[in-house]
Amino acid sequence: MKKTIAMSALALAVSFGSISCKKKVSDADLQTSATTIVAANPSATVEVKEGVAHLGGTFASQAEKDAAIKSLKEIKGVKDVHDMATIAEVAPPPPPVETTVAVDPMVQQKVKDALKDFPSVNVEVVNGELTLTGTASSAQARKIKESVDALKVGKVNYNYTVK
Amino acid sequence: MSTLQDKYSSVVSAAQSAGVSNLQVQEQDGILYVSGNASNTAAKDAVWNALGAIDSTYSASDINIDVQVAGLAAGATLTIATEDSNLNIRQEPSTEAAVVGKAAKGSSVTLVEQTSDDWWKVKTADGQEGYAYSRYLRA
Repeated sequence: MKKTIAMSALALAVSFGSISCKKKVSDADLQTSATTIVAANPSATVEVKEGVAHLGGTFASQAEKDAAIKSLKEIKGVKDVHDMATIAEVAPPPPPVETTVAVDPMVQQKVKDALKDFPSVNVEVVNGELTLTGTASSAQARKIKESVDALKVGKVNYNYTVK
Repeated sequence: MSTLQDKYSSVVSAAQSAGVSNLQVQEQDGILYVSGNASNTAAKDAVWNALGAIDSTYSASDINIDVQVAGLAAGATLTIATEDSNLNIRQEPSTEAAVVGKAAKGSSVTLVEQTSDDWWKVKTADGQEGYAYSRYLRA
């Protein structure tokens, strides 16, 4: 009799066990998976509570955020993704630096003006590049570069010997 | 940070510390372009001193510094900073133009207008107006 009761109790316990067989993934496990997905976006955050992934922080672009949301939804156990994240405002790239051409007569005149007080320095255009030769002191070289750099003629070869 | 920005980081820091406004640092075709406006000559010098500390020959082709003293008010006092000689005040902003006056090294002139980066319209103590090469004017 006792054995029968025990057997039935066991059977019942087992059946109860089998009914709730659907394994519930813990928030902790979901959090680990979710964090891994969002790791590629350092400014974004995700917190999983009761199977819902709460997305926060900032993404570099809408495309990246959409991709993260899609991946999060694919995690087994995640019921939904609550999107509270923003897209970072990316500054537009700076406009290219406008350079002048070494052979331009106006540029040539300005270079001449800049070198007027330094007779030991010569200038010529070699392969389209302004090339300075001769000799100059450190102080003179500084003044020359100050004036020539302001012209923004691209690559300048400061080939003079600086004493 | 690119290698050029690393190489010249002290120049950029100097510009920031000196209060250079509208500071732009951009790499293009292998040259680091550093540009901005300085409120006075000392600030501009600070940036160039930083370059001098890296390269005392000032012959680097991979950095281009264009920091101009800008925003000066008309009437500002400017000191003549020529090597030894007098500074020629010219009728037009060009070394080919006629000389209308002279200002001795160390003396002062008044700013009329910063008509361009390299030539400024000034007025001498005698009341002579003309253009002077800005590199020789300290603000």
